[in-house]
Amino acid sequence: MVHRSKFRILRRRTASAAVTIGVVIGLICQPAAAATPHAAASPPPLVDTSVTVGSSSGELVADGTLFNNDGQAVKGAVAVLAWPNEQFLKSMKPGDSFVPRTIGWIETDQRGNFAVRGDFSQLPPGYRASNGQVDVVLRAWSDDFVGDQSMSVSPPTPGSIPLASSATEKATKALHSDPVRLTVRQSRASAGAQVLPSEKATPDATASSFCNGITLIRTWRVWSIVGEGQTDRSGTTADFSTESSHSVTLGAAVASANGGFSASGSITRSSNVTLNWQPQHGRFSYQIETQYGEWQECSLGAVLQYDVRAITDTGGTRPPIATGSFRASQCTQEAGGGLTWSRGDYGGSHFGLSGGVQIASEIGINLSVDTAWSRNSTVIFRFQNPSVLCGSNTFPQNASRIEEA
Amino acid sequence: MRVGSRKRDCLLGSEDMTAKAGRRNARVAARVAAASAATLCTMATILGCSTSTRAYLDGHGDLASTEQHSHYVSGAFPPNAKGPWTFGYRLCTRNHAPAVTVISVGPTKAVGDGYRVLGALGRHVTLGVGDGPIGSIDGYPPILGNPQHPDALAPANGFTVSARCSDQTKYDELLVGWDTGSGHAGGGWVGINVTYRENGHVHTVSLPYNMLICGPAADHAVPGACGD
Repeated sequence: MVHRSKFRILRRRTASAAVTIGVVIGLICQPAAAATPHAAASPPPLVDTSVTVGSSSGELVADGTLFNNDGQAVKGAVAVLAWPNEQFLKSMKPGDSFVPRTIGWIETDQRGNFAVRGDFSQLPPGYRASNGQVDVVLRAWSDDFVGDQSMSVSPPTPGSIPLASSATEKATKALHSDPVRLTVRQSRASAGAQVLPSEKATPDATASSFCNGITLIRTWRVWSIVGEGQTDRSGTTADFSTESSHSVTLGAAVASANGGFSASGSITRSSNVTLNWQPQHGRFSYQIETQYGEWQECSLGAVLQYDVRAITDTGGTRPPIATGSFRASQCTQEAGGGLTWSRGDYGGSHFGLSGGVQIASEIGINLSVDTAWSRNSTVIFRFQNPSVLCGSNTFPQNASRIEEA
Repeated sequence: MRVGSRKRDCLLGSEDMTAKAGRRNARVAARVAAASAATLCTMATILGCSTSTRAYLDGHGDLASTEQHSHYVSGAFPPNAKGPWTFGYRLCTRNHAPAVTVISVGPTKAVGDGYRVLGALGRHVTLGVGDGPIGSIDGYPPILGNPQHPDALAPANGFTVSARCSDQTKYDELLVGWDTGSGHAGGGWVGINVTYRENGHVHTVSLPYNMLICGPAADHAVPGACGD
């Protein structure tokens, strides 16, 4: 009986010990508070993961999925880095540098899905444009790879009426409306190369040997196609006009320290150019000039990557440039007899062209153009004879690109 | 059905409006549409045409065309051109709405006196087979390109729109007959109102299309639509 009693005491002590051990283990293994994500992979340089944005604070910047170079979803993390605004970037000279602001980050789930928030209220002057736009980079990382996607977003300005009308909408309505497919394609092991690749052999300035941050190394003036007139039949002319304050979304690119450039999102710039070309017969594109910049990202002297993105609209234009057909397929018949068919937009499908930014001579690839047709942007076709008008992605009244077939 | 003046632009039950001229931006378009709806209800009651209880811009309700309310497409003929012609516009349903039935077609705003409205028809088009969609074409009724298998033309009043805006093979089309008129100011329709019935309720959508005969009235109402 004593034995049983001892046994009962032993069982109680064992049970107590088990409970105690369980509690200790629980404390050790207690996951961090939901508001403070704990990254499985160490963040890349220039990403500050001490910034925390709760699930109900900040703004939902973007949601989407992380992929590897093989197109498979991967687990990782995504941060939102804010770049300075257009006015600041215009003032930079080669050799000037800045450090991007991390305004939020989040781990993906096991399937690579993420919804990342950003706290724009903490941005100092120099980041938000006069129209409220903020240029950000979604920087994603896994254990071995990183990837970027640039975008321009318009968070509510401090003190304004919230973008969302309810807590649910605030939680689910992203500033970047389309889901993001973000690819981590750059090896983290490639960082640190000290020799510039050949196409970067003649920068206007080279970052110092102990660079840290993002340094402007050179700029170019680049032509971007913002509209076109495509006629094919005798008796048809087209012209294009746009008035000031239309916006253009221009592609960005990124390259690893020793690799080639690849497209990585886009940012939006306003153009104050007024264009009014005369009617033309044939196939022509209409172009505006943009200043692009190349930046070198470094951390503690090691080159991480190179970024290419638009700085500002220069106001430059040139006469229409001959271009080729794009073979649109969604067509409507049009009468002749002098019919004037015109389309003016401040909505609808944007004019979009995947290689509209003519920058291949500098970085090896052309970049995309997406023009939000302004209320004062018009394309006009004049038909002397019956014809056929075709749209690229839908019928001409709503298409991104329009041509006569 | 031939009508020769703005007062008789009411087609198949809809009424002409005398909404004030406005600029071609979304906010003014919304005000015009709202004012048009109010005027429509009042004048329709007086003139015995169909009433509409809910007017909205393209892209906001269940009957649509471009699904975008903030841009416009204009077709303008010179005043010395030889008609008649047919203008064609897509009609489609959205938001998983059931088929709707057109009751009447009329202008959101009518300007000038130099045009004639000849009538309105509807057509079901199977994309890729037979005739394709019409932007504009000679003749009214339209002279379709495939005489062997012409699409059936039906009066717009009573035409059932069943094609969805997301449909890649079916395309329903509103066809409006058009010609020059006896006046010298040109003019036409700035926006097209389509009144329809859905599940027993009557609605009106304002489509962002302008049908014009060039002249001072057209130039004033839609600057640039006739070119420089």
